[in-house]
Parts: sequence; C-alpha cells; structure tokens
Amino acid sequence: MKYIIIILFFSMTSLMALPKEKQLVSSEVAINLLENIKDYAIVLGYGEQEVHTFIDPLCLMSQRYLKLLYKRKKKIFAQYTIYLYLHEIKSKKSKKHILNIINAKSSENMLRAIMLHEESYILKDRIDQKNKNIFNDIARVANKIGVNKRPFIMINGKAK
Amino acid sequence: MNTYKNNLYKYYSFILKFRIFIITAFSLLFLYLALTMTTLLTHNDDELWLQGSGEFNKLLENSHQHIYIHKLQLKLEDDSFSHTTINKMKLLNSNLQDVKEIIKVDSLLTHTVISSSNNNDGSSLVEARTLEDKSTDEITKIIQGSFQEFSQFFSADKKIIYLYIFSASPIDYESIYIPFEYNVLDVAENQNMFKDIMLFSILLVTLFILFSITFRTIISSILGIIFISFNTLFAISMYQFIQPDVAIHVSILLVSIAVSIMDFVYIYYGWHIMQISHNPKSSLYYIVMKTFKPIFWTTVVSVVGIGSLIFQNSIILQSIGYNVIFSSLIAFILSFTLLIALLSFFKIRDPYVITKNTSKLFAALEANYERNLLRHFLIFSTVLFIFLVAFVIIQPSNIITKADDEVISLMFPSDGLTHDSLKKLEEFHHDITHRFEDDIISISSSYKYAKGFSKAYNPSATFDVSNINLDFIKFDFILYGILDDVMKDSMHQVTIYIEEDGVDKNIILNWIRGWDEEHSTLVDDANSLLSAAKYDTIYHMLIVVLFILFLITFVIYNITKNKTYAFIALVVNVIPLIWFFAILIALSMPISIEVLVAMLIMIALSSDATIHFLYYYHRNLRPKDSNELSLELSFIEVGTPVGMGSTILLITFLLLVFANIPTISSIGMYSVVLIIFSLLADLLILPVLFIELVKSKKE
Repeated sequence: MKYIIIILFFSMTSLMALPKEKQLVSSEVAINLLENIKDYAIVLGYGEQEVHTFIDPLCLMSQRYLKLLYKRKKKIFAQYTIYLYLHEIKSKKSKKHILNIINAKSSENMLRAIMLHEESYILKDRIDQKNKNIFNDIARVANKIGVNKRPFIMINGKAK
Repeated sequence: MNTYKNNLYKYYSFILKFRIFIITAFSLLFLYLALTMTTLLTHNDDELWLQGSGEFNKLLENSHQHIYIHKLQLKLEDDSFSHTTINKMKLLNSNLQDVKEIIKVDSLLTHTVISSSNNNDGSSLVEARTLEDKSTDEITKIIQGSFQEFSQFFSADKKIIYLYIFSASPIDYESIYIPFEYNVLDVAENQNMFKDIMLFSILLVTLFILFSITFRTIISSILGIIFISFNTLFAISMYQFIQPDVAIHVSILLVSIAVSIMDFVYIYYGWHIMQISHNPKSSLYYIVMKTFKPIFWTTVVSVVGIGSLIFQNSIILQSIGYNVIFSSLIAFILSFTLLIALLSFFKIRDPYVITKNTSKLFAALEANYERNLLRHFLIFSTVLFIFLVAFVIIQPSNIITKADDEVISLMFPSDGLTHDSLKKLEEFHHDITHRFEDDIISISSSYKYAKGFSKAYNPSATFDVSNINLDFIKFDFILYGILDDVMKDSMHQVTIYIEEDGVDKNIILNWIRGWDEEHSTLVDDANSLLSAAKYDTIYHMLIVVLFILFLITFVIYNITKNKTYAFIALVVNVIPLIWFFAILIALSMPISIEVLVAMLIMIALSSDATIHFLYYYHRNLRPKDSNELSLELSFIEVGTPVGMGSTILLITFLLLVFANIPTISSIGMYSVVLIIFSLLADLLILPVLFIELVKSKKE
C-alpha cells in the first residue's frame, strides 16, 4: 500500500509538471468564442487590430500589463483595440473584485482603482445576477480556449 | 620674343598711365565688398563634408533625416555603484529628458533588458525593464548581478560611465546641468566671429612684422597686407557670388592665402633687389617681364590642378577648388595691375638683400655635393616610395582618418516588421559579429529584441526567425516602448556599439558598406556619415595630388621642351610627399582632411618654387659659368624669394598651431612639416639635380 501511494504521488507530480497546453482550440474557433463575450469586455483604445486579454485584477502581472497599456496609451490605443476580460485565478480569490468591476458604473475607473491603486474603492457584497452571469460566461469561454495564465493575450485568435 | 616684350611693355605703360584709376577702382571695390560682406566663416566642416557625399545623398533620397549621436563620458570620483553616483545619474537622466532636441538617451538607466517572468502563476508577459524607475538599491543589485548586460556603459576600469545621446541636432551641453565631470566626443564648433577676427588679425600682424624684418622697409609690409587683404576679400566675394548658400571653412581661406602670397613675394622681391643696379621704373618693367611667364604657369597649375576639385561631388572639395581658382586668378590679376600700379609710387634706397652672404655660402656647399650621397638618398627615397605604395595597397584602412566615437547608426529599408527583414538582420548580426567578434560590444536592432522576446517566452525552444509571431512582437515592441528605438516608419534602425579599444570605426563602417550588395543600407548618424564622406574623398584627393604632380611635370616640359627638367620637377615635388607619408605611417597618424589641405598648400608652394627655379635655370643656363656661380645667382634671384615666402608661411602656420581651433592647429602643424620638407627639397635637392643632370651634361 505504501508503494502504491508513493507511485501515485510521483505520477500525480509528474502529470502536474507537464507543460500546460497553450491553447485548446484553433484560432478560428477562438475568434468565434471571443465574439460571444466581446460585449462583456472592458474596451480600451480604438485601433484597427484587436487584442483580447484575460486578466485577473489581483494578479501582479496583470496589473503590470495594465500599467504598461496606460503608460503607452497614446500609441497603443491608436493602433489597437484592447478587450480586457476579467477571469479569476482561483488562488487570488478575486471573484468579489471582478463582480464589483463588472457591476460598477464605469468599469474602467473601477478597474484602474483596483489594479493600479489610483484611488480608494469600496467593494459591495450585493451583485446583480446579470453580472454574475457575465462572470460565468467569460469563465466558460476562457476554459474552452484554455486560458491558463494571466494576462492571457490573444491576437487574431492566437495566444502568446 | 620681341613681340612678347613689346606687348608686355605696352601693357606696362598702360598700367602706369592709368595707375591712379586702377588703385581707386580696386580700392572702391574693396570698400564696397568689405561693407556689404555678410559671410561668416565656419570652423565646423561637418555640414560641408556631408553635402554632396554619396551616403548622405542616399539618406536624403529616402527622405530620412540624419541624427547626431554623442558619447558623453562621465568621470566617477568614487565607486561606480555608489548611491551618490546612481542618484546623480537619475538627475542627469531627468535633465536630458527635458531637452527637446534629444530623441533618445541610451544609458545604464534607460537600457532595456529582456528576461523571463519569474511569476509562478504563469503569464503572457515577459520582463522587459529599464532601471529608470527602480530604487537605488535595486539598481546597484541588478547592475552588479548582470554586469555584462551593461558593460557598454562602463570603461574597462569602471572609472568612466558612458551615455549615448541621440539627438535631431547638435546639443549645447554647457546649457544642461551635468552633475559629473564630463567629456563629450564630437562637438564641433560652428561660427565664431570673434575667433575669426582674432585669427586674421594675428595672421596679418605676423605677416606685417615678417615682411618688415625680411626687407627692412615698411613698404613691403604695407603692400603685402594690401595685396593679401584685397586678394582674400575678392576671392571670398566671388565664391559667395557663385555659391551663396555655402559657408566657407576657415582652413580653405588659408589655402587661398598660401596660393596667392608667393606671387606677391616674387614680384616685390624682384623689384626690391633690381633697384641695386636699376632705377625704380626700369626695375618695375624688368620684374614684370621676368615674372609674368612663371607666375602665369604657376597660376595654371593651381587653377587646373587644385581647381579640378570642383568636379568632385563633395561640397567641401568643390569649395577648396573654387577658392583656389578664384584666389590664384585674382592674385595673378592683382599682381600685374594693382601691385604694379602701387609699386610705381615707391622706390627703395639701398635695398637690403637678406641672403647676400648666405647664398654664396650655400652655393659653395652645394656645388661640391657628394654624388654618392645624392645617389643613396634617391635610391632610399625610391625604396621608401615602393614600401609606402605596398603598405597603402595591403592595409588601406590604416591610412584612414581615425574616428573617436564608437557608435554607428544604420537604417535598413524594408516593408516593415516582416520575416524577410528580420532574416536579413539575422544575417547581418551573424556576419558582423563573426568578422568583428572582439570589437563590437552590442548591436541594438529589432532582430535582437525579437529574439530576446521569443527566448524569454519559450526558453527551451530553438529560436527560428520564421517562427516568430510578428503580431505579438510588434505589440510587445509598442507595449515596452522599444518600437521607436528599432523602427523608423517601415525601416529598421540598427545601432552598433564598438569597443573603446577595438578596431577603428571606419573599418567597420567600410565593411558594412561592402556587406550590403544592394547598397540599400543607410548610414544615418552624422559622425558615421562624416567618416564615410571623408573616406570616399581621400582617394579623390590623392588622385588630385597625383594629377597636380603630372601637371607640374607637363608644364615644365612645355616651358623647357626638355625631359630632364620635367623629371627634376617631378622628383623634387614627390620627395617631400614620400617623406611626409613615411612619417605619418611611422607615427601611425591617419590621413585626415587636415593632412590633405596641408598637402595642397605644400604642393601649391612647391610647384611655384619648382616652376620659378627651373624657368630661371632654363633661361640662364650658361655652361661655362662655374657650378658655384650658377647656384649663387639662382639662390639670389629665385632661392631667396622661395625661402622668404616659405619661411613667412612657415612662421604663420607655426603660429596657427597655437590657435585654439583644432582644425586650424592641425593644418598649421602638418603645413609646417610639409613646408620644411618642400623648402629642403627646393633649396638642396633641386639645384644639385640641376647640376647633376643638366649643367654637367652641357659642359
């Protein structure tokens, strides 16, 4: 029994160590999937090329990404339209923050308050069901695409 | 001959008849031009070099502006990683960012380093960071941890920090607060009226004093200054009339003065000593008769020889060509109009001949020359000449102007960020690092960053340009603010940082120009463009020097119809150049524009002396006279003005060595050496060769 447990432990460990699949669907499918949730995205810029990014508001790298976007906004926003999809990293426990951003009057301002610490904010506990559905829809598409890191950046249906 | 004499006498009488009118007309013209003169001289020949150069034209054809890269050297008082140093660097960085002409600063703090993300959650982001926003402790830690990445910003002993400043126009560093003791390479001075006035005042005062000492009369000084001033102003005005938008470099003016001053010396000296045995009027006519032909031919050599530079594309060479043409022609015209008219008002009582005794002494020494010594000297000079030719053919790069700056900026025209353009850059990176492995510190390009990002995203994958996702690379370039550093419109910008003690930049630059078979690569930094322009010019200038040597030989043959005279002319003009080149190579001194200008000054003087000497020997060849007497007479009649003119110019150029203008000081220094060599060849070798090859054969 002891040996079975050890073998099982090693097998699990090695399975976890396998590189995560980059993207689970083809770029065409990914584009179609993203079309379904485009309306739920926080949109920055007005450029010709679309950049779709899954972020977690409490993820440090997502925060750095957002900071860089605003730092070079003049150039980036002129050339790209950035779609930001809020998708929780389980370990960050950011669902409440995400729902508050979706629920806010200006999602962008709330996003900046939380992620860039530009101003103070209060998190509400009561969130509309409609917004909870948005959170779930984004999560469903993210899982289908295979979003495994944040920020998860996609251009033309392909992930980095 | 009689017709010639008659015509010359008629001309002489005409000048004397209208002398008041001639002096008044020239004086009024001088006053008018002096009062309406708006031209300033430039001390900065950079812009002149760039105009008309092949590389610069290529840049203009692509509608691309050149940039300036200055390497700022900051001397450190204490440890290079101390808090004080880093805080001062931050202050400097912020001060430089406020200067609107500055496009980019590449320094310790602004250098982008790409590395993999250490985030455990996984991320599509990599670390592409600069040290600008980091704390002093973090900066110290990062630099010490990955020093190699920042090595291009430190001297080998870490006592100097380098900053590379890219700007749209030259920067005045004195107006920026730099909290370090610093040096800037390649800051050229433009126009400085005060320095010009000082320089020419010193020049004129020196000439005034030297003429007075040489002739022991103030008449020579006054007439000399009038002649030089009129000639210089008329030449500048004519040049400005033809090329109104091109500034005159101060050194070109010196060439013009050197070309014209000898005409005055020959005429004045001849008139001066002629009065020992003739009255002033006859002296004046005789000197017109004696000097008209040689001065005419020396003018032809200058106008056709040095003047041939006007056919070069380079504006600076054209400007030397035009100025020498105008200066020579105006000197010829003034010599036989204004100068004759002025001299007709004066007479010299008891003319002083400075070389009366030395001529006799010299003649006695040279008449008894050692034939073996002469032979050995000529053989040695020939061997030296062959060695120099071989050296130039085998190692041409060793004679190019040394470049102090260590950056080359290039543009690779392309249709944007494509796989093909990145492949071309990969090939370039590979070839140049293979060829100059130990000489290049780093190369900044879109390829370098694309490779850096690809490797950071997937460290285990083999890098292949064709697999790069261009959409992501471009997005990353913009996100991290790299795009403007590596792309200009659709062109790729490549910056090459060269080791301080590595191979000369010109060698790398020349290799790059040869590497690109399509000749589409553009050099876009001012210093590299300048180096390329100078490099292209050196061979043209050498061809011009050879052409002048040929021309002198031809003119002498045309006057004397004797091949031996022509051969002597060639030898006497070539020998100073051989010895001068030998010294340059022995001292590892590269050819520069200053060297070439000095060579033109020397060749103009030397050709004058050769023509005057050989014309005199040809006219006064008396086989029955003793060697000693022949030489003594030639020294008094021609050797003295040659020696006087050369000595006056030599002292003048010697003074210029101490002028606080680098170009002028260098021209002064090289000219002094070349004038000494030329004088030695004219006074020692030419007369001896004449006796050896001509006179002894007639006896």
